[in-house]
Amino acid sequence: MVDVHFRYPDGQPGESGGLNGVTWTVRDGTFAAVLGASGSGKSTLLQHLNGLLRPARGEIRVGDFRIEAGKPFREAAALRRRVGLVFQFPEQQLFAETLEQDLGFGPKNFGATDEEAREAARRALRLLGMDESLLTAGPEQLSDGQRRKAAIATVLAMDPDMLVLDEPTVSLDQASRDELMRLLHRLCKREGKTVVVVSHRLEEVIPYADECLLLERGRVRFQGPAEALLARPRLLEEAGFPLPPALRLSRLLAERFHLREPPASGRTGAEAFAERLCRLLELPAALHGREDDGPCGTG
Amino acid sequence: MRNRMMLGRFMDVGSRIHRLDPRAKIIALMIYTIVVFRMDTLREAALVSLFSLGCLRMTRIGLSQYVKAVRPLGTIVVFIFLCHLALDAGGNQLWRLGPFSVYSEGLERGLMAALRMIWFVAMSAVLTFTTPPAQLIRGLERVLAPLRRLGLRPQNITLMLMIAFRFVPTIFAETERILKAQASRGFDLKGRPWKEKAGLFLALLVPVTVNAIRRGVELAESMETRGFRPGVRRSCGHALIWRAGDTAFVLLFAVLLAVT
Repeated sequence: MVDVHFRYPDGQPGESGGLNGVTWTVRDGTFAAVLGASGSGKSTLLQHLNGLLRPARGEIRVGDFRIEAGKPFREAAALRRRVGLVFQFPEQQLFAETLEQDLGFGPKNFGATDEEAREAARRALRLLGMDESLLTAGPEQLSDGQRRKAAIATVLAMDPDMLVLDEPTVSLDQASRDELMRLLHRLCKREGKTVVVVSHRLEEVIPYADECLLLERGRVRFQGPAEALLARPRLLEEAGFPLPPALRLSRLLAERFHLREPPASGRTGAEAFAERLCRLLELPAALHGREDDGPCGTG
Repeated sequence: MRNRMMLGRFMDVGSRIHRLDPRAKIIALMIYTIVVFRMDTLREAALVSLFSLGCLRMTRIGLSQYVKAVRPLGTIVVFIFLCHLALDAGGNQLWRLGPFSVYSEGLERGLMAALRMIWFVAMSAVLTFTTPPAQLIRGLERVLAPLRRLGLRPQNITLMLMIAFRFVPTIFAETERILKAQASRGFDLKGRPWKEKAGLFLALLVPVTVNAIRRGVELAESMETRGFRPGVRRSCGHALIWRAGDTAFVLLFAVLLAVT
């Protein structure tokens, strides 16, 4: 059971990126997205999750761990094994000659034997859909997308219950972005890991997220399911997130022609838009065409 | 970590010293260095201290800032003071404690060594506190200009310095980030044997070094794309103007050198 609970008003007074009384719960096995403009406290929040930063007030509960403000926390190492934190540009932290050594670094730090570390390395690569032949490759032989995935695998190799990622797709090309998000979603749904993703891009996380948290200057502006968040465009815009173009278009159309808008769904792609358009115009279902494979579908 | 790096921090409060030509300040500091290393008697030390204190006051920057600049050296200063105190024999014996005896000369030399370091750092801080980095570099370049006769390129030296200054905070921030990232993977130096510590340290050293080199290459490329060519004479955006006040300032230090 992963039950994260924050409550730390006045995280770091006067400093941008502090937290002002954030309370949030992520249930075990959910895919959660943390959204917010730069300096809204997203990264600060993440670093509280594995004890890198300690709350100035309030407390954090992750599973059986309790980090309370003002009290010493001695189980940081154990917590970091359960909560894997992937920083921005994680590929910059790769240091070993081969991928296998790098992947084994985490497990070995937590007391795994060489054999166990190798096994963990292989498993982590598999989970990210990478070929095992890459184990002997050096980081310089990988492409950007592969390096990013490998770096995420180094954290995954510790087999954490919870995977926390700070803008994992930033500076990747579109195909790698999509692939990475799909992989993360699969980790969540197939392997039962709790995944928390920080993002700048609404349309990237919304299709996958069960739960959203919108931060603005260290305060919670919204928390709840993605659909509910999409239904509040003004709130999103205030926090610096314009609605995805497809949704905006359907909204504008509904307004223009005085039509009743169908409820927002988590899907924001062009196909989803076509479907919405049909529903907007109340065309018969036969015209909806083939149901496409959504990210949560069978694909 | 970054907050402790007090050296090289310009504070604009607009005092008389702020307005001086950077060359004057650099030359004055050079003279001062000779003074500080030559000072030998308590009387001289007192004179230098008074003079230096006057300089610090003239900058209109709070003394506490200078204390902050000197503080990182605290341990070394105390250590050197104690060494002199314990090991120098000569003059009258003042008191003794077990095998150690303290002699008046030891006390004097210890004091002198401590004062030397403290004043030298504080006065260097005067230079960096009162001079914007760009001006400081420009001044240094001019002061080093005679080295050109020896086949050195002062421009390259100062450019190197400037880049180093500029990137210290950046690399610190990056180190902190990588340290955190590795900590998330269980990197923890506490309670491990030394041999393992050295091995673990690679996990920090390699990424930081690789990033620094990458950053260096990128910087070089971006400078070249903007037309930078090393070794070419360039004009200055801010011409340095030497005024009477600058001459007076340097003379002040020369007088100090003469009397000590």
